[in-house]
Amino acid sequence: MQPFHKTEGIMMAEKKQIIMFWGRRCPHCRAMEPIVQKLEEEEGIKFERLEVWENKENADKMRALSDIIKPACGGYLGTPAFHDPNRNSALCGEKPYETLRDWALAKMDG
Amino acid sequence: MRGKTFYRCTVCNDIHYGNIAPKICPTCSSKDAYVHIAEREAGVTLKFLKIEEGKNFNENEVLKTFEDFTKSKDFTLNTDKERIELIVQGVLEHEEQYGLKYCPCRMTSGNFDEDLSLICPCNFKIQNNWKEIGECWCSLFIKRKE
Repeated sequence: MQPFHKTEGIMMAEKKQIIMFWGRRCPHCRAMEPIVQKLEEEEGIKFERLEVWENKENADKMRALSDIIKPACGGYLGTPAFHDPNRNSALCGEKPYETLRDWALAKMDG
Repeated sequence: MRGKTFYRCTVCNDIHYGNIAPKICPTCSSKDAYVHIAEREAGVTLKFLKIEEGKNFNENEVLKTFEDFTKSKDFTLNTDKERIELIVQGVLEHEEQYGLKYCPCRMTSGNFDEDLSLICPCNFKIQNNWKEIGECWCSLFIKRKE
């Protein structure tokens, strides 16, 4: 069951939010962008894109999640790294559409 | 023959200054692990140059060092030219900004010594990516087909 909240009197389904840490010269990040866009369009998932090499604040946000991201990235702060704040789960690297979709739509106990 | 220049062991970051790269690293005993590097990378790695000092290689020079690094190895450069170009631009941007050719597909931790493991080319053969799909994390270096 999706969580609901009231917005201007209409019951709206909350969009699932995923953080995507990416690097501007990372080829895997470029390859993932069309897949991420497709997921946004087809599944209504909202991806918050945080570039980490140009933006120190974003880099610090990523570093603060080291305990979650590093194990998913083979021991490093790899990019692209996807983080689901609700489940505190991470997925890392260039992945097929289905893999990212299934991970992003997984429930708390999934 | 290049003349005396700098080489870095991609496994332990030992720096050598000489006419040729050592076949065996005297520090970690790795074989054929040295890559030709710019004076700046040597100086910043060993902490005798500040980030704003020294001279970098340009894009073609870096590409040449990567190509040379793959000679007689069980890996080669990715054949995707666009990907290689993007990665080379990335490592050069990082060298300009941070003094070292940090991997464009991984973020630094902020700890200088720990982040030496992110200098490209890195010791990618210890990574899961190499073991599982025969590529470095960036897919710059890929396993040669038998």
